[in-house]
Amino acid sequence: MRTRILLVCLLIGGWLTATADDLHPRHREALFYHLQGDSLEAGAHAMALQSRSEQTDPRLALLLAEIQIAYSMPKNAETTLMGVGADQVPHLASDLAWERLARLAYDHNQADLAVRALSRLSPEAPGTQQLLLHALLDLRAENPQSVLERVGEADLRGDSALGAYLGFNRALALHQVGKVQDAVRLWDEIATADARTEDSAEVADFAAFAAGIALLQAQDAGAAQQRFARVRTQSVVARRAILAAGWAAAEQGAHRRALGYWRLLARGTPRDGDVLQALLAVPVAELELGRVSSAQDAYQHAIEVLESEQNWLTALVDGLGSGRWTPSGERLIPMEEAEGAEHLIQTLMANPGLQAEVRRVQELDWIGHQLAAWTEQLEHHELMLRTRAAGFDVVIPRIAARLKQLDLDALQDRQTRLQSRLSTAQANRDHWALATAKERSWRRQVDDVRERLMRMTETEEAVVLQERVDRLAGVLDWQVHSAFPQRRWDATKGVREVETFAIRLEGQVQRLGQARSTAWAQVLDMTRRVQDLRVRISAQRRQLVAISEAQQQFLKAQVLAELKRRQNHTDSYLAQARFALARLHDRELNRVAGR
Amino acid sequence: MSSPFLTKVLRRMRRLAVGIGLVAAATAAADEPVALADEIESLKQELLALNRDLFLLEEDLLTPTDTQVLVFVSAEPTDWFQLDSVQLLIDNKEVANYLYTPRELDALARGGVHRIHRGNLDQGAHEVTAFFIGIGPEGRPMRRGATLKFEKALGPKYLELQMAADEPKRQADFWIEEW
Repeated sequence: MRTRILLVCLLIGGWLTATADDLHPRHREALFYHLQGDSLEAGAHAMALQSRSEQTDPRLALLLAEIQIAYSMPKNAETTLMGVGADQVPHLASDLAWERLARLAYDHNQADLAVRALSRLSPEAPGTQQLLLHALLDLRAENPQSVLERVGEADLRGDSALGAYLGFNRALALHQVGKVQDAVRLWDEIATADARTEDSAEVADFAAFAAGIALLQAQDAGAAQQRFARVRTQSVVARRAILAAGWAAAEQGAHRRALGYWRLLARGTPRDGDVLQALLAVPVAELELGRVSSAQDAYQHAIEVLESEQNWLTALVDGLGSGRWTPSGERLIPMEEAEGAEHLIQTLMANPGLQAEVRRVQELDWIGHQLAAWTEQLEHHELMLRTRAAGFDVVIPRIAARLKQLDLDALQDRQTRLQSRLSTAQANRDHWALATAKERSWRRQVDDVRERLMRMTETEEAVVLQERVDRLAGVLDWQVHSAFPQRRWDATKGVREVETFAIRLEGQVQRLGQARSTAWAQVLDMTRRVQDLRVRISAQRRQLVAISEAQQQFLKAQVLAELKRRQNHTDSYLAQARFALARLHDRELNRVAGR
Repeated sequence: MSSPFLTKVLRRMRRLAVGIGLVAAATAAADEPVALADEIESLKQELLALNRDLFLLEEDLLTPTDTQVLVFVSAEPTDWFQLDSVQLLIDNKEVANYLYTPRELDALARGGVHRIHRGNLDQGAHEVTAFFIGIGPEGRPMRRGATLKFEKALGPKYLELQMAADEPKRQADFWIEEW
């Protein structure tokens, strides 16, 4: 089941990853936390992004739903998924939403909702997953015929783990309608297929085990044993397969082999149901081998183990019942007080229901720590806001004074004058308007010399000088004229830069003015938000105390129920072992008396 | 052989085999204390909303949108570079140096991005430099850099330091993208 859920998560995750290139980094940041199992951070990021976005992104909503599911919030996830499915979104997104909702509903025993969600899938939706969900729902409704009508052999093609699951469920349906050989053939196909992933290998183990059981029921113990031998030692059904392999061997009269399997299993912890069964199976095999004394010893050993187990369970039940021990999230039962508590935790945690409850207690503990940490964080924020407010007291008057000194109008005037001079020079092609100071000075000197020469008597020497001065004036004119385009460009650029600077300065002045007027409003707003959060956190802490207490009580009741169930089990095994041992003694006594 | 144990075992195993797909879900959902579960779910919902509001408050307080700059790291897995850490410099000043855990690297490989830096920058021209430090081909230590000049205007600025495989060149490629 866990693997199936994982598969669907991976499918959605895969889709998110496959389309990740155009996803905003903030979106993928939420995914980053989700992929690390940090649902609180992932959820907060996804919700923050949703509150900032104007448009709803179905991918973000799907991610949020996955986060909610991972954080054990099925009702919220249901609402989120329904929202995506009902929205006008691409088929791919709505199909993923409906299918995820169907699986969620199936996992929470809401068959009607699961069927409704499946009916909303588009014709383009991938078939295998739909079929698998339908098959699971039909099997739960004890309607194997419907599975067979819905899932044909052709649907089982492909090497995916999903296909294998589907095949497994079709085989279950075949078995339920009495087509044992067909069921075994299909399970065999799955068990012997090339398992490329751990998921596929796990399905293969289950298939091999199921085929073995079916064959054992059909009195074909030899074939059954071959199937049990296919189950991997690391599989979750490995111990059961060993136990069953023993029975298959015993069915064939191979009691020595059966004994080997059961002894191997009986070495395990007695808190495991399969181990307890193996403990009682060992003397049965010993009897079959005619070793009465060994059988008696084996029964005696089983009784000792079971009695010790019973005493231990009684002590735990008494301890819990009297309130001496309280199950908590971190330690189900305080280790220092309960002997063998570690084993108890291991065995109790094998029950998925209890696992979920313990996880819930742990989550509540963690929420308590988190709320305390947030309270502290808010204190820091408050301090920061107070410091900022104190800073404003100093800075704002300074800004006001500096703003007063700035004469933006004067700057504007200067820029306008420069622009006007440039335009006039351009219109009149007045090259000298853009001449350098040095050139003007030279021009003045040349004009001065020319004037002095004009006042002189016209001699041959004066004429030569006049010509030289004219040439100088010409060179100077040419120089100013040829430099004019570049100078005009530089001047235009300069004027534009001044204009840009003036605009930017004006913007800055405006923003400063605005910041000055909004600074206090922002500080006040944030202080209000901090206070609001403080109130909410306090309310949460109060609520948490009540919920934690109720959850602890519920967990305690669950643990007690589980322990009592185990007590009953152990009692029943113990009674069987004692009865069998007594019968053996009687038999021996009768035999001796008869002799 | 007709052992009562066998009959019992078979019955139990048959139930297991037939109900293999159903057992876990049925157990998980059994005896669910509905009101308590609802209360816990509602508490979690409020907790998420609280964390969101705290997150938004923190951003508004520490990095207002006008000056905000966020730098993210994304890393596609490649055979030519195994990322260990990233060093980030803005305007030649180190602002982050982050060493990744295997769990974070896995999340990056599956499409997540890590926000390596959240800070404030004035409007105008800036330069960001990132060094990707890790293990290159044949287990050699490797340090590769990428630089980007960018203009910070009003509003948040998002930068993504990216690493991906350049298949034709058989090497890892590193660059910085503006969003």
